[in-house]
Amino acid sequence: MSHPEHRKSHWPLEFDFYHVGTVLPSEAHFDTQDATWLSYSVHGDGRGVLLIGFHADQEPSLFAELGNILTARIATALAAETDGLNWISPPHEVFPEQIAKLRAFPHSSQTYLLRFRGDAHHASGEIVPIQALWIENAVPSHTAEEAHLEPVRSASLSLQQET
Amino acid sequence: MKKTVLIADDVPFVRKTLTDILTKAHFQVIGEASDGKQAVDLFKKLRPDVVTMDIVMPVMSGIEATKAIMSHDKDAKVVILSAMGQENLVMDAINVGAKDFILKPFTTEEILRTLDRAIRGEERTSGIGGKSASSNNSTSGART
Repeated sequence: MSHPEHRKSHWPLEFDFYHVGTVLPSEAHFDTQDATWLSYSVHGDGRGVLLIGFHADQEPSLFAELGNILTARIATALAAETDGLNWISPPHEVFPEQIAKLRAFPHSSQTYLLRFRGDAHHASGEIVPIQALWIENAVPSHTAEEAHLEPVRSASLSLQQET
Repeated sequence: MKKTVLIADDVPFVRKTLTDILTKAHFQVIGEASDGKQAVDLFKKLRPDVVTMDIVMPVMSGIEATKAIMSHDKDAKVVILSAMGQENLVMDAINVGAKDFILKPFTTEEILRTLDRAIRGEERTSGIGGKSASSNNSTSGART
């Protein structure tokens, strides 16, 4: 498996995530056991699929939005390269048994840590890891148009990767 | 009298965050939509003072929904809230009639300032929601 190192430059740096806390890149290990995975496709002048993994005891909707932000920033960085325009799909939940197969595609990965500011559900300073995988030039089995027709749901995700 | 808001976003976390911010200020959230078509239908039914509109949503995008709302009511106040900060998309949103564009993740101050400005009918003064798209879109290698 190759890891397109040049794509590491597209991973967003640290950023504030609403009132919730701060998201920062990390070298920390991410335990994939029992993780929930969401996929987002980028289409337009650039294309690819972003997967994010997190642990299901957390609020899924919060991580769906975090994935939206990461995917949008990668789409924007790709668009800047070509002076083009990219769109992203809404999130789709991916069946856990598919993850090993998807990870076999050439990809780059980045672990992020969400450090909570503290609220009713999370203590100040509590840290939650998130794994992000970017599979460049991948196209999901459903079309971009179909992706826009479906809300968040479990989906059988198969990819074709173009060179 | 509190100004009324319709929130359109497919992610429940964002709708709750916005509702919390707005109801603690001088706004009343009178409807929530999870896709663009629902946003158009609720706008016609509820006639809010302002709409917050996500771009990437199932069924109908926020750009198409804004266009439909503006064709129904040319005086509608729609503010786009999106993580998609590409210049072309911002221009698309403004061209179909959106009053302003806030880049996600937003802050409380950005939301309140921008919605107040949209309701007053004031023109955008700078960048996106009062700041530039690139200022909130940093990556380690590809800044615009």
